[in-house]
Amino acid sequence: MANVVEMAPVTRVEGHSKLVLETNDDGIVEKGNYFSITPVRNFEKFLIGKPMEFAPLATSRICGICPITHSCASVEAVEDSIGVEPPKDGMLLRELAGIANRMHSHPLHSILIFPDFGCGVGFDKNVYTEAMKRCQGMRKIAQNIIDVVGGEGLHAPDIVIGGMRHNISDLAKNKLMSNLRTYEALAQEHTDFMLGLFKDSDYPADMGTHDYNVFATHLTHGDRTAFPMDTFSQELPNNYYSSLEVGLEANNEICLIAGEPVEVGPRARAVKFKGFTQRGAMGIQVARVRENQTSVHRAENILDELNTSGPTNVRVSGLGDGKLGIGINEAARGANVHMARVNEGRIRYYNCLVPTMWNYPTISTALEGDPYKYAEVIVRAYDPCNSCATHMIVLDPEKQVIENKLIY
Amino acid sequence: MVLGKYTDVMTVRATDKALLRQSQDGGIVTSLFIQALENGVIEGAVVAMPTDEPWNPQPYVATTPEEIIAAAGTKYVLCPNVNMVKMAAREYGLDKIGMVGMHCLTYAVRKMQLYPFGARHLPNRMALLLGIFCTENFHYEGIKAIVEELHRVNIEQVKKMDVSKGKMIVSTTMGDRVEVPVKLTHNYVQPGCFVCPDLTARTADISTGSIGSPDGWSTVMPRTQVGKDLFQSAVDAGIFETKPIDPGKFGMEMLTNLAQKKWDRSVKTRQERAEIGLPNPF
Ligand SMILES: Cc1cc2nc3c(=O)[nH]c(=O)nc-3n(C[C@H](O)[C@H](O)[C@H](O)COP(=O)(O)OP(=O)(O)OC[C@H]3O[C@@H](n4cnc5c(N)ncnc54)[C@H](O)[C@@H]3O)c2cc1C
Ligand code: SF4
Repeated sequence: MANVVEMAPVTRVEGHSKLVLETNDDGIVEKGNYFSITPVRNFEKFLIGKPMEFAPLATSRICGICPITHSCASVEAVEDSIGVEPPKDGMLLRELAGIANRMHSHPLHSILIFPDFGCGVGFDKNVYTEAMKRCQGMRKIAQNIIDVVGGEGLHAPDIVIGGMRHNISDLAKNKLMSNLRTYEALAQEHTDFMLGLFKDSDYPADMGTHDYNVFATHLTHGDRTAFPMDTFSQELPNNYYSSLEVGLEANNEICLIAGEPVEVGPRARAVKFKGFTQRGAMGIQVARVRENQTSVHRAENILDELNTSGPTNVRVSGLGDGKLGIGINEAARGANVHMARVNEGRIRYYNCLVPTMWNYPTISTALEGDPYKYAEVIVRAYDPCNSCATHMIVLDPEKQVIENKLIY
Repeated sequence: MVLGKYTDVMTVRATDKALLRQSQDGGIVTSLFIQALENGVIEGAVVAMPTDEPWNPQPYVATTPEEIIAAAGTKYVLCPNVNMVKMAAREYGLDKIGMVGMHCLTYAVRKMQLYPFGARHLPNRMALLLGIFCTENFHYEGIKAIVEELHRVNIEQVKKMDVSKGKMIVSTTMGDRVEVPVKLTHNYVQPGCFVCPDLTARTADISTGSIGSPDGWSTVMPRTQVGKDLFQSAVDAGIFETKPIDPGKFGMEMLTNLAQKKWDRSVKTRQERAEIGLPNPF
């Protein structure tokens, strides 16, 4: 009988999650289970019957770290369903808002993992303070972009079906550009600092590796045409995890492509679009800090390209006939896929495949073969966001609720 | 009390004659905004800008002196400048915002500064609030009806509107001047104004209006340090000529009396509303 190590809640990640690890006598994980224990929130269900405009507003509230990615994926799913295409400048601003979301989330993640790399108690206080300030400085600049472009830093009301509610002034554009230059410098220092921390750490290079494929649709925005509609599947956790007990406790679904888990997120994007080869937990960490630079450069390009007098939205005339629409936004943590069927202006079906839903089974496998003591470090490398990923009620095939206590 | 706190009160007008012709009274608001722009006190100001529909302005973020001048002059129409303040801090990218408004608008901004729910960043970005005196205001349909039914002037031909000495005066592009007693317009006043207690925009940095000063001049009341400094800088730059305000019947006395009258009207209206069970905002 294997030893079982449980850790709950896993700390310094977004939302509540749990590790159940079967280990051998040397403490090496033989079977990994990583899952969400954040209460079910039912976004997909309560959206049914609501006006389509409500979808981006509601799904933005799925998460306080990544509200923008949900708004963007949501409007794009609705737009796809009703057949609306926003104008170029609207799409540029929307992409910018999404990138800015990532540009604030990644430094926040760095703060969460500092202690994993000795940067915390006992670390040089001045260096630590500087690193913290740098991260917060980057986050401030990024949040300000969302304020300006989306109308509000958190739940941006100006990301609307048909485009973006407004363009920005030339003054705003110039200020954002100047802030981006500051971000660029901060991001460079931050990358150097983080790469130094990683180098000084003694985690094995192959920690947290797996043999699954990566899934990424776009480097900076999201591309619905890259979604594998025919081969993706969603499974209930009780069929997936190593025991029914774990499966019933898990509040997340499992997303697979061709029956296999995939990795999504910064490393997946870097592998797919930039020829990045480093694997495992450290590969993800490196890809993530480097992605800040990719983001800031793309943000600058967007501002260069933006015509501040161009229209940013189109009048929405169609109300939809129930066609399945897909919206994908490459969030900080990976591909965030929203699906919607809109009929006569109302949501008839809604489904979110958020990044961490893809990553749960991948993380679970990645834990195997490493000492259980590294488990949380590996989990954090994936920067899971459990709040997003809880969205199901567990029903049996007769649609009977299996676990009442899961329903809030 | 009815006039609020102020550091000084005087009679003032702009020295620039061309600007005076475009402005409502002494050209105070327009001159102060331009001065504030040039001094770096603000990066832009929310003003009431004319639109294609005659005398129906819209809030507008003016960032150049030309735009500020284009918005000069009083429009007796509701113009929700506060709405634009938040946009000024967002898509317009202003870190130092100015706004002009009567009591209801300046008061709303101060409240947003105190309790910035849904108004993040506004508290420290509001750099200058210019207050204009106000007795009452109208919906667009109301002012159109007054001008077209009472003055018998097509609203498209109105060059200037003014309220003075109990008359609402309309000057036309044809050079005519038509007056009707203000009391005839009362049926068109937007109802909220009867609840409103404050004539002189007591929460502004500087308040100004025509009451208390001769035609073509304005009464000016700097109220805060920001207001005092800005006003002084404009005087030092020779932008304004100033003289002491008349303390008598047509000066301070009139200003205080009319402010008290508006205050009393508000108290009375609120009592009447309470008696018939209607809610009161304060
Ligand atoms: C509805 C209303 C009622 C008023 N009632 C009185 C009164 O009873 N007694 C009195 O002494 N003064 C009153 N005033 C103020 C007066 O008419 C002048 O606006 C004031 O003296 C400033 O003149 P100025 O020459 O300095 O301003 P200007 O240099 O001409 O600039 C006026 C500024 O006010 C802005 N503005 C114009 N209309 C509006 C509006 N509707 N909402 C918001 N901003 C606007 C303009 O965009 C401009 O920036 C009233 C003003 C308004 C708008
Ligand atoms: S009377 Fe009061 S409420 Fe009415 S417009 Fe003037 S300041 Fe606003």
